[in-house]
Amino acid sequence: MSTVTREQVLEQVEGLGPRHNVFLIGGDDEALGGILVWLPEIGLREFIFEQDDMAFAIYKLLRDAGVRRFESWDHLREAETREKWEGWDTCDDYRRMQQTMEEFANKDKLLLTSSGQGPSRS
Amino acid sequence: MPLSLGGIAFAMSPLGNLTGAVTMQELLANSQMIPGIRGAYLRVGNRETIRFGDLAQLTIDHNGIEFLLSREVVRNSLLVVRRWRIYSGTPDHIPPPRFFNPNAPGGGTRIERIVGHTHPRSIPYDPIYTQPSWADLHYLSRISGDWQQVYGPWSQPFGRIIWGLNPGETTIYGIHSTPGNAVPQPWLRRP
Repeated sequence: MSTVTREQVLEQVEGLGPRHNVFLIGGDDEALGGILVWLPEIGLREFIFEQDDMAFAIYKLLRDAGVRRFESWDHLREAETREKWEGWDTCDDYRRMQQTMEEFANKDKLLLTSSGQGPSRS
Repeated sequence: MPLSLGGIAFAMSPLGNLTGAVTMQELLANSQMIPGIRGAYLRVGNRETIRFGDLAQLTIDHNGIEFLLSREVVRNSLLVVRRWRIYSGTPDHIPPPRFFNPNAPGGGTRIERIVGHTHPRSIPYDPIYTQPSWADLHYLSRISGDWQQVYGPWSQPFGRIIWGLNPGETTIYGIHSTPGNAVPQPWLRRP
């Protein structure tokens, strides 16, 4: 018997935000899979609900409600790249990585220049 | 009062209110500082270590919300940078970022491995707090393919639950664990 009420489950689901930003990862027969939320300002986060009954109930409710489900991370990544979800290039995670890669690019230039592989100085 | 983000009410999961990097000492000294879903870089000096007990202390100080420590590795063809990150959730859930992104902006790859997360002690006692939950184990199984792509085909993912203040009050669990029963990786088992 479940130890959580429908109201408690609905409250948690409501906290996940708009349905179109909630995704599941899991196979057809899986009673529990990944529960992910796309936060346009932050990026993608997976929610690990530690209370087993709650986790199962949330997953079931979302699956029964027709929330978009992916078979694997690979499938989710493909969709994210192809569809360019809102905030994909402005969210915190993206900007943080972009900043790191720009720092890398500057260091790369220095490395290549100092090793003589870069553009020659006139 | 729920926090709001683009019309989404987060009554359950704080978004976080930190910008830039933070030290463990700052977090321990000020319970108003919340890493939240957004997370924050954890600044650790060269001669400093991160004590798992400090994460357990943060959970106690924040009325049982879970904290998560991760190691972020970003690399391109020539360079790599490794940094610590910290997140917080609620007493029941924790929101890890994606484990692996092979297409990070600028052509790099990004890995963010969870080093450990806290479980709040439950009252009355419930043994699950030292052990993996179903969801903990499902997370491991879901990242298993990416894990092997990153660390090699013979490597297996594992997790760590931090449940106490003292050194050693952690539980390591591998993919052969069952809910409530942690089975560590073979290389951690005693003969």
